[in-house]
Amino acid sequence: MNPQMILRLVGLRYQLLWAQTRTRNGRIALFFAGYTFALLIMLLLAGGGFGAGMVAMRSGNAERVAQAVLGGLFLNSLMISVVTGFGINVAFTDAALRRFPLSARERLTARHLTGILEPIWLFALAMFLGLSFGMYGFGTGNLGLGTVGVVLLLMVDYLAARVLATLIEWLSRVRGGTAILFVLLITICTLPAVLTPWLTAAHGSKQAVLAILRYTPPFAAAALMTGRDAGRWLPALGVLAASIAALTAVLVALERAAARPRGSVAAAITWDDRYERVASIFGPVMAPLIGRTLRYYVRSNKVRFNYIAAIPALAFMTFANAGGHGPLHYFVRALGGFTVAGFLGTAAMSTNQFGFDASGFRRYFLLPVPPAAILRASSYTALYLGGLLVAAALVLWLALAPVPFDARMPPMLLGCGLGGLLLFNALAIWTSLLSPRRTDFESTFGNQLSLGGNVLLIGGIMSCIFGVIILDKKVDPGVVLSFWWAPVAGGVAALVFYLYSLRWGASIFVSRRESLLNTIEGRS
Amino acid sequence: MTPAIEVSHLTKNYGENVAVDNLSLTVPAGTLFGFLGPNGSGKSTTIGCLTGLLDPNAGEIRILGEPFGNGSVSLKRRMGVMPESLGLFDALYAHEFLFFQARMFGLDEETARRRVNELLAAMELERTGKKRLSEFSAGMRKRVAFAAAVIHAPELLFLDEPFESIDPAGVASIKQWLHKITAQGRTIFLTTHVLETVERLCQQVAIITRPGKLVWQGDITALDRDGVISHDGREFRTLEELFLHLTGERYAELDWL
Repeated sequence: MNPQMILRLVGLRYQLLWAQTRTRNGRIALFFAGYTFALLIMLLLAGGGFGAGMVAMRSGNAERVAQAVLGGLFLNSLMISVVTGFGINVAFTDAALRRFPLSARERLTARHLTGILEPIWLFALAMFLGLSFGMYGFGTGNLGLGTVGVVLLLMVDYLAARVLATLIEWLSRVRGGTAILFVLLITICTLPAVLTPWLTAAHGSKQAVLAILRYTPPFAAAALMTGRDAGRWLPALGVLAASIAALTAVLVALERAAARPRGSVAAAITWDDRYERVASIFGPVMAPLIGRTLRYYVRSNKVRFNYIAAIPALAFMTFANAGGHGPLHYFVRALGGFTVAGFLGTAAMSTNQFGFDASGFRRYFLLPVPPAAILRASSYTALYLGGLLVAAALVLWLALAPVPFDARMPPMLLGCGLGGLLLFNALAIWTSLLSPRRTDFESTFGNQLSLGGNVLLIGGIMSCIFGVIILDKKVDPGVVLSFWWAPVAGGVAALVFYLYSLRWGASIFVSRRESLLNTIEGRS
Repeated sequence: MTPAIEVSHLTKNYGENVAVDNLSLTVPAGTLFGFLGPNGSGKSTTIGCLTGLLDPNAGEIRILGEPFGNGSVSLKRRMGVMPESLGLFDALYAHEFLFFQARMFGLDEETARRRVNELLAAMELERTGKKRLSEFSAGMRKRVAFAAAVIHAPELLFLDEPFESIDPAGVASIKQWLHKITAQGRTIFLTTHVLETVERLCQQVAIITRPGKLVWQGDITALDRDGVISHDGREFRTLEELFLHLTGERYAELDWL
């Protein structure tokens, strides 16, 4: 082992993170990250850790509280990591590390050490430790064993995120993998709605589930945190160790499979004009440009994954936590789901239209077309693909939703879906022009959105989620339906804003092209 | 005969840095024109201004007899450009990229397909139907970029370092095509660091030095006939001698090497 070299690489990783703050966007991101970090630490130590410790002491059931808190934190950090890509980006690939005098084992260690020391896992560790200290502070925990437990739990969390991400990336590349992913996502999104009534109704089912959950890493870590006798904490230690060993084996196998050459063998040219046929609906001048952009959208693993996730996300937003209040509440929640569905699938590319082009970006200005046509082509493609999602969602809603039909519903859902799509893509023109980022076309994971793209996407999703929750709680669904014209009017307003953005954005595109070129070609 | 390119007092700044300084040159039509200079002397910036990628801060550009700006769409249709960074769309296959380029430059579908097939065969890339451009080797990428620049048979061709990374057989083919293009009265504006190639290919050469200042322009056909070029009261038998004289020779001693 060459620990000095490995530590130098870890240092280099942080140097590279720091280097990102040299840009204006990087400095803003750093400010927000620092602010969020401080807030998180305060909240978690106060609320998550000591609060949970206090609850545990008062309830007299410390282990149950630890199980619930650790389980929630574990799943949340896993989800955040997989969804946003934080903490699972490969800072250094094995191929990149081969330049240095390191053995295979040292390269593996260096890669995963730089991975687990990414800021998100330090956040997760702070949360886990907060609980451990809290429990210990209130006399219900074992600090030594608890610390060991949370460190091992963090390793499991990191490895699970890497395995999940690698698996999804692999599935999104292989033939038929997209369909498998779609089924998995639908299952995951509808599972809580199916399981909750069963768990509530079946006698003794809760105990049975809890008995199984004892063999999961968060419950094992909770047992370590609160266990005082070896008969309880020793098996828990075994569960965590076995989880780490199993996940490591799976990860190594998956990484080996992913590292195999993709085998693009020599093959004669075959003309596939499906893209051109679709693009021809936009007219002969735009058709080649839209055909090109359409290929980029369809071939991007990231877009494909988000696209198939959009309908399950809509189902989740509509049916999670809305039951029990009557079927019309599903409809109110669906208004938010439809608004998100339109833009979610293509947002990775539409908020950063040129970021994936690399040196291809300069070709746009060598083409004999006005630059406005380039901007329009990219935006129209996102609208076209998003529009298909909205249409598919409406058909599924009409066919499957357990809600009594009302003629006002389809125009409202369409108004929200298309209005959201137009408004988002109007704003996406501005983030593409004013907040661009050079991105890797091949990657499936990793938050590659620019600062502006992040604000727009996360802000858009959050506004829709909380907007309909508030609407659902404060306004009777009958009253919501009586304002059927509002989403339609909103859609028209969004269309006007979109057209205005396209027009004004075209002149900004020309005036900012040198700055965009520098960013997208990686010179700034 | 109208010159293919006329540049007068071209200046391009990046903030405080001057990249091209008051550059004036004329490229006669039907010539293979070599544009030379050391690294960072402003060659690519000049090409950027001449092809509409960059906006000059001052000066006037006329291409094929017409004033040129970034909105000159009809003029761009008559030009072909192979940028130094190649400007490929990496997610596409080679034939898709060339077809896109052909359609953008106004070729009908049938002609575009025919030319793509012919070009890929000529470039020995006809078996790359399932390989994205991102998977191509450097030499293959260069060939594709060259094919994209010539697919619409432009009247004026800009080539920025066209021979780098290409194997000798590929270079020989490209040289042959370049001769054919100029023989038809079309013009090629070429930059490269391989001075022997320029000496054998080009009729006219301009040499610039940092920051984008023209230091010499003239006919070099004499070198091809074992003649000499006279400058500053000296005689130069090769383009390399002239180039080093104009741009300065630099040797650094590295004792440890």
